[in-house]
Amino acid sequence: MAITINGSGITSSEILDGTLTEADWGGNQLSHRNLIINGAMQVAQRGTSSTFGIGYSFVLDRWQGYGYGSNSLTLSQQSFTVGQTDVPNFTKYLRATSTSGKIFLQQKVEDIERVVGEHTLSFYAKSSDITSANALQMQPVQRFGSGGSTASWGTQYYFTLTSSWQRFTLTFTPDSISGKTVGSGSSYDIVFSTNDGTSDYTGTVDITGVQLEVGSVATPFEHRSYGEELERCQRYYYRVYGPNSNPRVRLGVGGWGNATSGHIIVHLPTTMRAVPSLTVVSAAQALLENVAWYTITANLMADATPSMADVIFNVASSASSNGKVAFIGNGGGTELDYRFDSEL
Amino acid sequence: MEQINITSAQYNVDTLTGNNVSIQATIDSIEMSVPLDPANRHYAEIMRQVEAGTLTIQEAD
Repeated sequence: MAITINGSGITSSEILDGTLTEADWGGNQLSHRNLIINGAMQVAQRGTSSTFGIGYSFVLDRWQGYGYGSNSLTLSQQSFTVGQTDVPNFTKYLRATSTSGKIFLQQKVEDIERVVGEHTLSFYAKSSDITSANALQMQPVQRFGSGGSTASWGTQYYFTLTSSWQRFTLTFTPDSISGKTVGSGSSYDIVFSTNDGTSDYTGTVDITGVQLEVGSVATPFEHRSYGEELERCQRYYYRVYGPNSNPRVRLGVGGWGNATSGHIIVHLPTTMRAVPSLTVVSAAQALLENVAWYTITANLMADATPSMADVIFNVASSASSNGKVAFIGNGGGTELDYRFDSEL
Repeated sequence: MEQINITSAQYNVDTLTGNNVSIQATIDSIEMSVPLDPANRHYAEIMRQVEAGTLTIQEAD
């Protein structure tokens, strides 16, 4: 009796005699196909919406925008209507709105040597106002990292958006990297912009379901759980946040070195891509042995690895504290917001 | 396009060893501690601007 899987003609005899080949499932691996992280736009550790000006900025994890004018680009996470069927099985999408200059949105795929040979990009997109022919561009960039060969911008590909969701697919082969020098922090960048090769377009683009995979076939989007996607994102960015009320959040535990400073050890939830930079948005308070809280006046990072950070805190003064246990935490009307960044 | 604006950079020192351990920098108007890791994009950009002669890292106080 023949066994048929998805009508592709895989028979019991093929399984038994070992002739099952990649071609039987379209030439692609069955899981871990998607090289894009957060392609379904689920994870937004930094927040769900932000408007920024000239320069690079992230909102949704792993998706980096570039603003061309003051307060010119807004990136936000949007929710689909429950039960919608336009983009089945998706709950979120990214909305990019530019008021000055083109929309620029990219994701850097870590390690340029992972993106060699034929690949297929697929994504869902629409626009209410950028519907001119070929107004959405994707141009890949090969970046060879610190000490590596000079970056190379690839072929420009164009797509025409409508006001309805469409799935777009593109099969292409990146330029050969044979003979190139690859340094640390190399990447293969998928760069979207609203430019038709001649003109820039301002307006709004909605996008989700971005997938980059090996081979010539655009397979169905590989859905991953929120937890799995968050863990992947935390290789590049990790935020510890606690509001100025409950729940109580602790950055880590350490000790006081003297009356005005101490060290806190932070164990990062996954090994990050590189040693992260530390940005302290809200400095919170330092706790002396569960006795008293002191307002932190400054933070800096001392020794760190991709999996651990030693954060030095300073306070104006404290009670006798040398050698005693310290915490950094929120509470008492003070917010805690520490951000570890090892993005490409 | 693709300008990264660094307005200040100063080494942080481990007070126990006296060694430089990170750089306190203001990058695109955000203050951060940047590790001395060439794979870190902020450090790589700091060093690129230092080599280009457009940025100087101040010694620690």
